[in-house]
Amino acid sequence: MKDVEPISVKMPEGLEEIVPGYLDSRKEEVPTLLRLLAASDFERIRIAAHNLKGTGSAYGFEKLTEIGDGMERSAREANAGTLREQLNTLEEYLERVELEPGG
Amino acid sequence: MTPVNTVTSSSTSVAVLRLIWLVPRQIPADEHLRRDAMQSAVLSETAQIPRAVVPRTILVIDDDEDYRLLVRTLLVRAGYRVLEASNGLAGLRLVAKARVDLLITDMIMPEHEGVETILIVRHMHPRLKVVAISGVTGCREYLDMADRLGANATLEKGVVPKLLVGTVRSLIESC
Repeated sequence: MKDVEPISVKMPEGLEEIVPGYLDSRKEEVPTLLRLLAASDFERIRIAAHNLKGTGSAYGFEKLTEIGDGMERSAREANAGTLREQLNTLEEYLERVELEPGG
Repeated sequence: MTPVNTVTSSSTSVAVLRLIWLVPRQIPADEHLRRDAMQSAVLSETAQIPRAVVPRTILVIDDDEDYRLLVRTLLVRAGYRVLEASNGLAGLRLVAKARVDLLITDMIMPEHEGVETILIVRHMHPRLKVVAISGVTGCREYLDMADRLGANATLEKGVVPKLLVGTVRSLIESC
């Protein structure tokens, strides 16, 4: 397993109790999104991406909002190749995130 | 029905026009008042608390559970009671049967989007404070429409928690 450089993210003040759970949920969601992509279920991917876009920065993860925005566009276009790349980016980002208190 | 003039022409405005006329049929319903057991529990709890100490109640309507959790966490911490609904229709049922001081609604949802929800709330509860929220990119047009339909404030979902709580507090104190 290769070493990855961590990405520090400060949790927004007042949300410290729920941010770790949100992050875990996103990690658990990746395999589901990959299965949806394999099944070409672009509509459910679009909904999940839209929610990722909406909640990412609110929970302190600007990058998740950026990825969610791109995935939502790709899902609308049924662009499986780009979606696969975006899911790889998402998975890699989630793997590298380390949480810090007090943003 | 002149208020509709503020809505730009789109499929949404057609839906809105249709809903104006459907309002009396869609939100009547005493049967809605009997349904939600959880809400009944909330109401019972409220009834047992002396009026002076009952916190102000915020209803959060959003189909994204993670965003509802975020808003609930912030607002409960700020001292408010929070009710939740996962779509506009369920939210409107709650408004019909519970005391709600302020409504926060997402703009893009299944089963009554925010535009429809705001329009109906403005029609049936004109004094209820409304905050419209939406995702961060490509959604400004929805928030502009919410503004034109009479939302008291519009916010993008990515705003810092302090701004969300501050907006709610400011509107609640002006009630």
